[in-house]
Formats: sequence, structure tokens, C-alpha cells
Amino acid sequence: MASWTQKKQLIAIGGGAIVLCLSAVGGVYYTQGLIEDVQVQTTQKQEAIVTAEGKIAQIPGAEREVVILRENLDEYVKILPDTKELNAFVRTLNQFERQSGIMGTGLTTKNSRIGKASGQFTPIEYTYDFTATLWQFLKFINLLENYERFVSITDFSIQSGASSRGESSRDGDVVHKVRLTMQTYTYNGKATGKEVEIPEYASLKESLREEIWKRMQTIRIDRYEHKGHGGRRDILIDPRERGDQHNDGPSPAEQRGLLERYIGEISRLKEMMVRMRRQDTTLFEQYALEKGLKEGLEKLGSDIESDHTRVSYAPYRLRWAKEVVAPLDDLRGQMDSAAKAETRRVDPFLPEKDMQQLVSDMEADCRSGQLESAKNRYEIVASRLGVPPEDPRHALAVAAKSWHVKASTALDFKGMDLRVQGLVVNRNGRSGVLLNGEVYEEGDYISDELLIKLVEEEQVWFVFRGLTLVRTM
Amino acid sequence: MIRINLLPADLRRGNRIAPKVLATAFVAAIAVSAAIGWFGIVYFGDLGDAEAKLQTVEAKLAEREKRVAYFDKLQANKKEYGSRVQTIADISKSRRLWSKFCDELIDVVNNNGDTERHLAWFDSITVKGDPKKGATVTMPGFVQDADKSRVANFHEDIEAAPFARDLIWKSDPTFKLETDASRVPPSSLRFPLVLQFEPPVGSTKAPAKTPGKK
Repeated sequence: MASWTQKKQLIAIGGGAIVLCLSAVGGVYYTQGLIEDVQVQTTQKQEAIVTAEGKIAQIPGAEREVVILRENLDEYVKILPDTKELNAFVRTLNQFERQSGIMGTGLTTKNSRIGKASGQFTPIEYTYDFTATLWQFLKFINLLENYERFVSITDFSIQSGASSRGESSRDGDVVHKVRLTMQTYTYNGKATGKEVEIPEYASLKESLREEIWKRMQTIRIDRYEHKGHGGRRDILIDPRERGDQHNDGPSPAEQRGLLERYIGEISRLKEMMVRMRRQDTTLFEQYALEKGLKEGLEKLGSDIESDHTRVSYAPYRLRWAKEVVAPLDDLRGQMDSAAKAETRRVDPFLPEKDMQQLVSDMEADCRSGQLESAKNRYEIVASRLGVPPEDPRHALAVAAKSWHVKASTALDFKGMDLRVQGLVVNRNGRSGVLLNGEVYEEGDYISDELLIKLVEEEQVWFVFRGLTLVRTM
Repeated sequence: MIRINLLPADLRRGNRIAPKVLATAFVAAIAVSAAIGWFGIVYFGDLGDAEAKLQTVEAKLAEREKRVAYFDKLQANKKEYGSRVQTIADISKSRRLWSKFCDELIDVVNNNGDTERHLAWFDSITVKGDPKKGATVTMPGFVQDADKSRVANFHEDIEAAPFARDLIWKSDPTFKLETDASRVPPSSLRFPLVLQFEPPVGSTKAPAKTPGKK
């Protein structure tokens, strides 16, 4: 190099420096590329972290959802099982048959019509032939439709048994021929197999108990509660009277009369109930109405017992059930609930004000000769007059009782057969009376309870059960 | 003339590094140092920082991935159960409760015991289900007496029944007089009754309504 010319030396130094600098710049450029790659990776990972955090934030919600769904899993499996479990299904059909009273004659499977169309479930079809009354048939299909496993009735035909020769009956109803096609389903979804383990599952389940129950209600399929017979007639039977058969019972016109008489009586009792509940009805009127209502219901109940078989014309049976039996039961129910409310009252006795009113009314009745009215007033509220001696109303209750005794005694006396046929008034001694053909003097007992106290020209004074009573000529 | 240079060899003018060369070498050394320094800063500084940051982020992500895997399992479970619920909902839409229909039909026929408006009965009831067209109910029936208005009354009551909301078609009121001497009254009007129900939700659309029908 020492022998190099200066120019050569300058070129060598400059060239070497440029090469080195360019290498360094290249290295920086390359490194920047690496940095960018690392930064891209970092950004991607940060995004993944954000996504992961988003998922993590959803974990409590997902846990709750899975606990709710898992707890209801039994319900889903019942409705839509994974396996066919058809033996159990056939056993259930047998149970429904016994419950409804139908008589099965054949069960066959049918090819599925929509099995291939739906990937989520496979339908399995059965055709069932049986005989049943209309009500048995309805009960059977209702049991099927309300069964925990999903069952859909796709086709059915019911042929009236009345049109065939030699109609048979069960429980008094005509038996029909039925063919019914039903579908049940199995679930095709693939199970992931493993259930994820949720920490503190038991406490989570406990806290979600209400939600689990609510969700169970929402997944339940539509159900319907069949009304039952309810006095309705079989719509597959000709309801007209048979002219070729002798009928011992009343004619439809007579049955209608009977029905309307009962309906009239029911509406009278309903009216009494309404009046009894009105605010402007006095307490005594209420008691009188209650008594009348009770007696009316009792009488109607016993009459219905004897007359219900007389209404046999099918179209009237429903009216009988709806307009006589049901309202009667309703009235009885209302009376029972009123009686229960009565027993729940804190004070079982009549209020003081009402007792005062009772005593004054009874007194007024007795003085005006309205003995029957006085007696009835007391008897209507008698159950609420057993006031104990320590109660301030005791004196009033005793007074009311006293007026009742007087009224009852006077009424009993009035009802006695006492024919006064003659009188002998003796100013200086004992006077006498000719009574029912026998002579009695003052102070004589006619019977154990009846004594002649005083005989005057116009009237005879008796003492009956300790009460002085006057009989005027 | 012979000239003899007595200076040591390195101090001799001809052998000394020229200042120009020296200056160039100096500038070149600075430039090279700066360039290599810059590279060092970028490579060992910025790149190192970026890699360290990446490692931190990776560690953070790895920590969350366990929880994410747990979440994914939960989602899989949820999807599985949800799918079954959805399937139940789908198939339940396809069902009509025939016990309800029959109860409602019996109520219409019984008409609360009012026999003046109509007194009807049927020979048979046939229900034919079709997932695409909807169920068809065929009920050949009768009304008591020869009073034609009773057929119309009965059809009117059928149209007003709760199940009529789901009907797309109903047969017209037609009749044929029949007489049965063994019955009182002997005359009755026979009529065909066909009800066409809407197909279940989600099925193919049903045929268009027939003009003049419900």
C-alpha cells in the first residue's frame, strides 16, 4: 500500500468506507424488516389477547347458560330422546290404553314420511287401531299429546259405532272404531361427548335455581287439558228419539219442563245469594236469606238426586249439567266459603248494636202479638247468641232468650186444644171453669205445665211453664 | 548531481502519508463507525425491544389460552344443548293438538244445549295430516229436521269456533234431505263438511284460498 499512489490510496479508503457504510445501512434496513415482523406478530398476539379477554369476559355468562341447559337436559331427553326407546313407548301406550279405557286391536309401524327431510330428528310412525267411546278416544289422544315424550297425531279416523249393526256400549256410551297414526321422534344431533367441568358447579346451580325452573317451563311443548264429558253428548250419535223403541221415562217435552223448573229454582236461589250479599240488606234479612238458601239448596240437592236420571234426552243432558248441576255446585261452594269465612271471624257473637236491635224488635213483636216473628228473629241468629257471662253483651243475650222463651211458650199455649165451655165466678171463694168437658177450679192443674190461676167473667188466667197467659172469651 | 537523503525513511517526504489521504481515512473511519453504530442500535436496541415485547405478549396470550379453551368447551356444550332445544321447538311447531280441536268441535255441536239453532251429529271424522298442505278434516254430518237454515246456522257456528282461526278453507253449506221413519222427527239434512287447516309453521305454503270460502 505504501507503494500505492495517493490517488489509489484515496480510492481504496473511500471505497472501503462506502462498502462498510452500505453494509451497515443494509443491515439496518434488514433489521427494520425484522422489527416490523415482530411488531406485526405482537399486534396479532395483542389482538388475540383482546379476543381472548372478550371470550374470558363471557365465561360467567356461558357457565350460567351451560348450568341451566345441563340441569334441564333430562327434560330435553324426555321430550326428544337420543335413542328410540320404543319398547318403553309401547309400554306407555298400553298404560294410556288402560287409563282411558280404549281397547287396542293392532299396532303397526309405518314408513317415515319426513325422516329424510329433517336432519335434526327422525320421526317414527305408528298406526294404532282400537275401539273406544268418544270420551275414551279423547282421553287417549289427550294423554298422548300431554305425554312427556313428543308425540304428534298426524292422521286419525273415527267411525261411528251407532251406524254399524249391533252397536256395543261402554259405560252407557256407544263404542266407535278408531284408526290413529302418531309420530314420535328421536334426536339426530351429534353429542360432543364430554361435559365441561365447571368449578363450583353446585353453588352456581343453587343460585340459578329459579332461572333453571323458568327455562324448563319455556322448553315444554304445548299441552291441553281435555275437558272431559261435562254432560256433553256424543257427536257421532244421532240424538233423535227412537220411534221404534218404547221409552218408559218422560217425553222430551216433559224433560224440558223438568229442566226448566230446576233452572227456575236455581235462578231463585242465585237471586237470594245476590240479595244476601248486598250492602243495603239488614243483618236480620241476611240471616233469613241464608237460612232460606241453605234449606233451598238442601231440598234441590235431594230432588236432583232422584230426578237426574229422568233427564235422558241427549241434547238436554248438557243443559242439565251446565245450568242445573254446575250452578248448584257453585252455590254450594259459595255457601261453604261463606261458612268458612264466618268461622274465621274474630268475634263469633252478634255485635252489641245488633243485639239491642234484636231485643227491642222481639219485645215490640211480642207486645203486638207477632209471636211467630219474634221467635223467628231469635232463631235466625241463635247460633251467635251464646255469649259467655263475662261478656258485656251477656245481659242482652239473656233478654233476647227470655223473649224467645215467652214467644215460644205463648205459641205453644196458643196451639193447645183448650175449649172453655163455661165459667162460674165466685166473688167469695174459688171460681171454676168448664174446660174440654171437665170442671176445674182456680189453682187446679190441668196438666204438669198448665195451671188455672184466675177465672174472671171475660177471661181466664193460666200459668203455663211459669208464664202467666190470659185467654179471653 | 547525486543527492543523498539523510532523513529516516518514515520522515522522508516521499514516504509520508499525505494529509489528503489522512483526512479521507479519518472521514471514512467516522462514517463507517457511525454506520456500524446505527446498525448496532437498530439491531440490538429496537429489534431487541420488539422481541422482548413480543415475548411478553406471547406469555400473556399463553396465560389466557387456557381460559379460552375452557370457554370454547362451554360454547360447544351450549351449542349442543341449544341445538336440541331448537329441534324441540321446530318439531313442536308442526303439531296440532287434536284433543283441543275435538273438544272445541263438541262444544260447537252441543251449542250449550240449544237445540233450536241446530242439532247436529256426524257419521265419522277423518283427519288426514300433510306437513306441506296442512291437515284436512272430513266430517259427513246431519242436522235434525228439514229446516235448511239449521245447516247454515251450524256452518256459521263452525266458522265462529276457536279452531276456525287456523282454517284456510271450509266446504260450503250444502245438504240432502233424508228420512228415517224410526226416528222422531224422521227428517234430517245430510251435509258434507270438509275443513282444511293451515300447514304447520315453516312448511311449504298452502294452496290459495278457494273463492267464496272461509
